[in-house]
Amino acid sequence: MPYAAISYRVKPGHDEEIAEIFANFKRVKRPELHDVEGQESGKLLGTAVFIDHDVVVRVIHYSGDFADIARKMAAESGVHTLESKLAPYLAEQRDTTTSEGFGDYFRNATMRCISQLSVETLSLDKPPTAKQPTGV
Amino acid sequence: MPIAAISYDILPGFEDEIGEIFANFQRPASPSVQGDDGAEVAKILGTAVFIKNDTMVRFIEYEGDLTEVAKFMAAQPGVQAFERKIVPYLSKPRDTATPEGFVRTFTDSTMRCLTLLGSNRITAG
Repeated sequence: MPYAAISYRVKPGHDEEIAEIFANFKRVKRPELHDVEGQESGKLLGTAVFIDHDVVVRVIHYSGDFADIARKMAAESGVHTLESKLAPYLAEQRDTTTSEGFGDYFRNATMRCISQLSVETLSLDKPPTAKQPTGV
Repeated sequence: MPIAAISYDILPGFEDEIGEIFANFQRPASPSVQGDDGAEVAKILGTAVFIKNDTMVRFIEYEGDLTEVAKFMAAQPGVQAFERKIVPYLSKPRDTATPEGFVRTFTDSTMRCLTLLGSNRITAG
């Protein structure tokens, strides 16, 4: 299952304020992704956000089509709350209030993938099961 | 599963050259990290490397003890070769020639995790 990453710059020295914003993030309700026609096309498997000085990166572990992630996130109310709280700390402002604006931001912030390796691509004694959603 | 992020300060504009280094990366023979007594103390589930401008980040999805993961990586020939080949493209040198230096650099360049949501919790809604 692929990973994707986005990154953006923030004003340095506000780690605690930014951490607080993410700590209060209203998470997405469902992990399913959908294509433009509304058909289920994949899943969000996990995500994590990191900060170092003036750089924030988010890694997204998913199945399916990456383009469907931006559309899903743009439709989540928690994401818009987070964006408005984050705005004062961003080095460059971005318009994420519309789905088009959110899509533009997501594309611009996407990092280039250089390498991906996982246990799924190694021959193992037993098949990897840890990454599958368990529903618990 | 936890994910760690390790950042590298790189010179911008060398994505293809750095990509080439990774294309030839000799991956560890096993994802299992074993302690001195041979028992599994950690496991590397996946790694991914991304670049944007002057920032490169290596994400490591793992189980167990992250310091053991760092020690394991320090001993891998593929990782040691990578650390040598990346030197011309670093804007900030990394002291990774010795296992001790590698583990220290790994720890120092570990980014602070602000949030981590796994599939189990996402599914739980």
